[in-house]
Amino acid sequence: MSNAREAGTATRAWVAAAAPRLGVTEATVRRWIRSGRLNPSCGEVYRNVFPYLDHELSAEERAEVERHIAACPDCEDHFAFDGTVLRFVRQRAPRALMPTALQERLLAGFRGRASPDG
Amino acid sequence: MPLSIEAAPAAGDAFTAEVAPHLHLLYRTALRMTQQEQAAEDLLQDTLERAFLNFARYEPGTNIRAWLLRIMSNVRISGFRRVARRPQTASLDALEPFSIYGAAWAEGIATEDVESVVLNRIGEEAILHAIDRLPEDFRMVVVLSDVEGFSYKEMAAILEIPIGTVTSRLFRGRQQLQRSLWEHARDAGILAKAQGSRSA
Repeated sequence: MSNAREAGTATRAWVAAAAPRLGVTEATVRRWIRSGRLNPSCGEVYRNVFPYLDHELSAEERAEVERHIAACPDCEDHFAFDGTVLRFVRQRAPRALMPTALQERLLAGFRGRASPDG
Repeated sequence: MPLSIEAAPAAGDAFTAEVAPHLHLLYRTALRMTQQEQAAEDLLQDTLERAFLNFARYEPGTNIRAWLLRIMSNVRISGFRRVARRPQTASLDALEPFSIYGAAWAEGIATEDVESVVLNRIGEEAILHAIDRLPEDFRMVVVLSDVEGFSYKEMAAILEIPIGTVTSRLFRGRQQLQRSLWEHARDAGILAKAQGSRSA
């Protein structure tokens, strides 16, 4: 439904840029947009950027993102860049360890304790 | 009637053996939640106490990390109810969309330079500080996902929210994290270096 609506809003420039990237004619790009095979809305597709990068999309949703990215160089760059930032945060975020003394203190209270159910 | 130690001598020991490997995870998460050493320690203590009381209901072999964190999240929330001072939760609308990709473009910094010049100069402490600046609801999904590596499904179970809410909080949370990192880079003079590196 939203794809059909979006088909009318895909700019001529977007279609013209997408066609050679997808290796098809502009008429085919328009047909794909009309049939819902290709979502030309960058905003709608970008909403899935993190589930895409996190591998949390269904196969169908993933395919929709990949078709859009294949057609749209700006989104391809943006998705790749957000992936870079995400990897940076994941690799560099410090993971503090609990001080041993605190660990001992917390656990000491439970050692040898009977089951609360009796 | 006093409980007999002999009746169940292993309960406390079995509990400590089960939770000990996950204390660092619990400690880090409590620190990010409360942002204070003492409050984190109290939260951890209360979490372990409640986990012990409910330990009979834990099914061995299931996801103990998620189980413990769900208890921690509940203890945290019931603490707010008790003292009626839940931290301000930002409404989704209050958080303006942000993307380093767009900001770099606006500042005339190439994305390759953001990667090689800007990100490489942002230290561990700055990342932690940027995470801590997020409103708690958003901070927690970012921490659970990007620091601790939990899946959306696990986060939904831990925080007892729908997966759709996990997804939307993560979207906004990561955007705001990018904003914090970018502002840090500007304040620390890193952006100026990136702009210089391009014209050099």
